[in-house]
Amino acid sequence: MANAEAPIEEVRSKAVDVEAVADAAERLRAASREAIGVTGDAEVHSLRATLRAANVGLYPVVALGSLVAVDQLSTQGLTIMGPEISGSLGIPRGSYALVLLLKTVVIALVSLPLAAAVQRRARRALVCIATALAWTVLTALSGFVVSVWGLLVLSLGAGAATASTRSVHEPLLLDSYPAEARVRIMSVYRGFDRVGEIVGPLLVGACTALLGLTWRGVFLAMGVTSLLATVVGSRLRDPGFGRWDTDRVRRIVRADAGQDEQLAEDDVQLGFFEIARRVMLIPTVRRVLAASAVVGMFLAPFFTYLAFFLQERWGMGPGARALFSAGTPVFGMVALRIFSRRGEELFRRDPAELLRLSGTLMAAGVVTIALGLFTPLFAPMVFLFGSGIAMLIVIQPAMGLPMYSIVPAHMRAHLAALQSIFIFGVGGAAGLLLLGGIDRRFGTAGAILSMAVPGLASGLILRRAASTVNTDLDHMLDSVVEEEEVKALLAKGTRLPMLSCRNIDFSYGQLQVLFGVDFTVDDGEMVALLGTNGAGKSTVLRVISGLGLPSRGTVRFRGADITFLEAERRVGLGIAQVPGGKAVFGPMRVVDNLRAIGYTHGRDRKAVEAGIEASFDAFPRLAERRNQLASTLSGGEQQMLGLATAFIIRPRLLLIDELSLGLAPIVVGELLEMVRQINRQGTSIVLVEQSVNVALSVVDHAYFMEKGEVRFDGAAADLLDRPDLLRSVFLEGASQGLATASSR
Amino acid sequence: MRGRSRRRWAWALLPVLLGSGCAADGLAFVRDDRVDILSPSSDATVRLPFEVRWSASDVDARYLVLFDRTPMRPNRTLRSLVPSDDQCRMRPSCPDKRWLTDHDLYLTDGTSIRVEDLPEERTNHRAKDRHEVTIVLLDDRGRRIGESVFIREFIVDRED
Repeated sequence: MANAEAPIEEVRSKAVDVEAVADAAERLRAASREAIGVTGDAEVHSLRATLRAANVGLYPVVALGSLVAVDQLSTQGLTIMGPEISGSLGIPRGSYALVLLLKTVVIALVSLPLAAAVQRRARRALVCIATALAWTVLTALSGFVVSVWGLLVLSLGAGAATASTRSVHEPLLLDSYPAEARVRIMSVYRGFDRVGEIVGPLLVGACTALLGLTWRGVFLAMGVTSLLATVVGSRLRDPGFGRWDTDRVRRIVRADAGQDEQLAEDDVQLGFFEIARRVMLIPTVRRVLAASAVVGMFLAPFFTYLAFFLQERWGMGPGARALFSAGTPVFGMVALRIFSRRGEELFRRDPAELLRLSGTLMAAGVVTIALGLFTPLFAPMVFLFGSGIAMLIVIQPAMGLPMYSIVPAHMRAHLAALQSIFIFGVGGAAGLLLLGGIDRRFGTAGAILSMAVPGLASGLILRRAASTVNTDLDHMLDSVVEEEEVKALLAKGTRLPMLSCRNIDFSYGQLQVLFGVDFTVDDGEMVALLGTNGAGKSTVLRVISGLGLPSRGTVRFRGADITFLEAERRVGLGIAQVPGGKAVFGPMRVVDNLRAIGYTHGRDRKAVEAGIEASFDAFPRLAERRNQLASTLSGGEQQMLGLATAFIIRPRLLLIDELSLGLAPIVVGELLEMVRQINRQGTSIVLVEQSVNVALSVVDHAYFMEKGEVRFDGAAADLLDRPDLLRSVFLEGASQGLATASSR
Repeated sequence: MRGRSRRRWAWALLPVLLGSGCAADGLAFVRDDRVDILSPSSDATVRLPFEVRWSASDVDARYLVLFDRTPMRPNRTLRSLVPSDDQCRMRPSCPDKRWLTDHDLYLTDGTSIRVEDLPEERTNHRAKDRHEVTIVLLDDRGRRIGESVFIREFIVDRED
C-alpha cells in the first residue's frame, strides 16, 4: 500500500481536518432549518400562493386522499355486514371476529416490508397504485366468497394491500409538497380519511336500503368505488426522497461549496433493519412511539366499546350507530380545517410547539370523551364525543410532521410502519387484553373511562417528546450537511482520513459514557487510545466496529457514513476488532478458530487456507498447537490467536483492545512485534491500552481519554510532556500495584 | 429456493388460494325479500314469553328459527349444528325435536313460533339483554336452501 510507505505526519497533514466540516455545519444549520420550514416566525402565506410559488398542484393530495378514503371500505363492509355474512355463510361469530382481528394484525405487520420495498428506490407512487389495485380486486372478489377460508384469504390480502396507506402515503405526501404547506396538506389528507369514514357506512346503507343488495352486492359496489379512486390516483408519480427538505439542504451546502452539479452517490446504503434500528435510536422517535403504543391502548378498543356503550346506554341499534359513526368524522373535518393554518404557524415557529399541542389535545380529548360518558342528555353527549374524537383526529398531522421531519426522507416509510405497529400491534393488543376484565366488572362506560388513563399518559409523553425534537432536528440536518460537505471535498479531490469519528455520544441505557468524541485514523497509521479504566476507550472501539451504536455523531470510513451499518458489514469493508481478554472460541481447536474467522471470505476456501498458513508462519507457536482447544492456550497464545485474525481477513483497519492485559513483558514484546508487522503490511491500527509505556513504544500518534472525553490528541512524544494527564494513569497503576502487593 | 423462484411460486399459488374459497354460481347479490319478520320489530323490547311472526311469499320450504347463534352453511343439514362430541350424534334421527328445543332451535312449517324462555345474554345488570333471531330456509330433508338469511335484533325485558 503506497500510503503505508509515506511518513505518518505527512499523511496526516494532507488529510482534511474534520473540524473544518464541523465549522461549516454550524454555519449552515440555520439556513437548513429555514429550508425545511422552521423559520422561527409564524408568517404563513395562503395555501394557494404557497403551492403556486412551488409550482405544485393539489393532485398528489387529492390522489392519495382518494385512496385513503376507500382503503377501509373492505373493513367497514366486514364490520357493518358482519351478522349477514356470518349468517349467510354459516361462519361462527368467533371465527368471524378472528378474521377481523387477523386483518388488523396483518395491516400493522405488512407496513414494515412495504417500507423495506421503497427504502432504496423512490417508487412509493408505484406501490400506492399497485396496492390500491390489489385491494380493489380483493374487495370486489369478497363478494364471491363461499367459505371462511376464502373470507380469510381475501381479507388478509386486502388488509396487506391497505398497509401501504400506513407506511407509504404520508412519506410520499411530504415529499410531494414544500415544507411551508405540509401541515395544511396533511390536514387535507386526513380530511379525506374522515370522508372515507362517512362514505363507507353511507355506501353500505345505500346499497342495502335503496338498491336492495346483499352483502355480496355491497362488496361489488365497494370494489367499483375503490376502482374509481384507483383511477384517480393512477397518475401519481414519486418526486424522489426529500425533494422539499433534505434535497434543499443539500443544494444549500453545494451552493456554499461552489458546486452546482449533482455529486456521485457512492454511500454505504443501510439495509432494512439498520434503518429501523437507526430510527429507533432517535430520542424523540422513541418517545413518540412510546406515546403511540399508549395511544393504541386507548384508541384501538375505544371504537369497539363505543358501539356497545351507544347500544347499552342510549339503546341505539345498528342503523343509529352507523349514523353516529358517519357523523362524528364531521367534527374531525371541522377541527382539521381550524387546525391546519394554525399548525403551519406553530411548525414554522418551533416544531416542539406542535408536539406540545399534540400532548395537550390528547389529554383534552380523553377528558372530553369521559365527560360525554356521564352526560344525561343525548345532544350534549354527541357533541362531547364528536369534539373529543375531533381532538384525537387533529393529533395525526400535529404529531406526524415534527416526527417525520427528524428522520431522513428515505427512512420515513419505516417510521410510519413502526408507528403503525406500536399503535395497533403493541398498544391495541394490550388495550383489548386489559379492558376485557374492566368491562366485565364495571360495564362498558367503566371500560371507556379507564382508557382515559393511558390517554392522559400518552399526552404527557408527547409533551415530553417536545423537549428533544429540536435537538434531533438539528442532528438530522447536521448529518445531511456533513454528508454534502464530505462529498464536496471528495469532488474537489481532497483526500479524507481513512476513519473519522465526529461528535460521538454513546450511552449504556441512561448512563452516557462518551461525550462528543472526535477521533481520526489515516491510511497505514498506528494510533494509541489511552486512558484510565472506565474512560470509554473500549466503547470508542465498539462504536467504530459497529458493536455499539452512538446516540449522536457520525463514523465515516473512507468518506462513507457507516455510523449505523451492521458490524458484519463493517468487517466486509475492512474493519476488524480483536476484543480485550480472551478473543477466542474456547471449546474450538486453534485451526477451527481461524476457519471460523475465515467465514468472512464466504466460500473462498483457498483464501481461508492461505490465511491460516500465513497466520501459522507469523505465529509458529500457534502452528505447534493447531489441534489444541483454544481454552487450553496460555493468555499470550490466546492474544496471538486473536491477532491472527489480521492474517485471515486482512483488514484495512484493525482495532486491538487491551493487548498487554495480564501478560508477561516478554510475551507483550512478541505481540507488539507482530502488531508492527501487521502495520507494515498496510493495515491501520488502533491500539487501546492502559499501559502508556507499551502503547507509546509502537505508535506515532496518541489520543488520551478521561471520563468519556478526548483530553489529548497529538504526537505520541508530546503526550509524555503532559504529566497532568499521565499522572492519573500512573497513579491508577501504582494503586493497583499496591493493592496487589497488600493482597499477597 | 431462491427469491425469484419463491416469488413465482407465490404468484402461482395466489389464484389457487383465491379460487378455493370463492365461487361464481348460486350466489345472491340482491336481497331476498320473500320472508319478512313482522314481530318483534327491529330493536323492540319484548317480555317472556313472546311470539316470533313472519310473512312469507313464494316460499316452498320449512323454516329454521335460531336465537343468538349462527346457522349451518348453505347445503348443510341440521345435523351439522350438532357438536361432534354430543351424545345425540349416536342416534340416526339426530337432531330430534327435543334436542332442537333444548338448544333454542325451532323447526316449523308455519309462520310463527312461541318462545317460552331465552338464556340471558347481558354481561352486567346495567346492560340491556339484547338478542338476535335468525331464520333460514330448509328443504324436506333438513338441508339449508341457498344462503338467504333473515335477521332481527330485539331486547328482552326481564323486569329486574
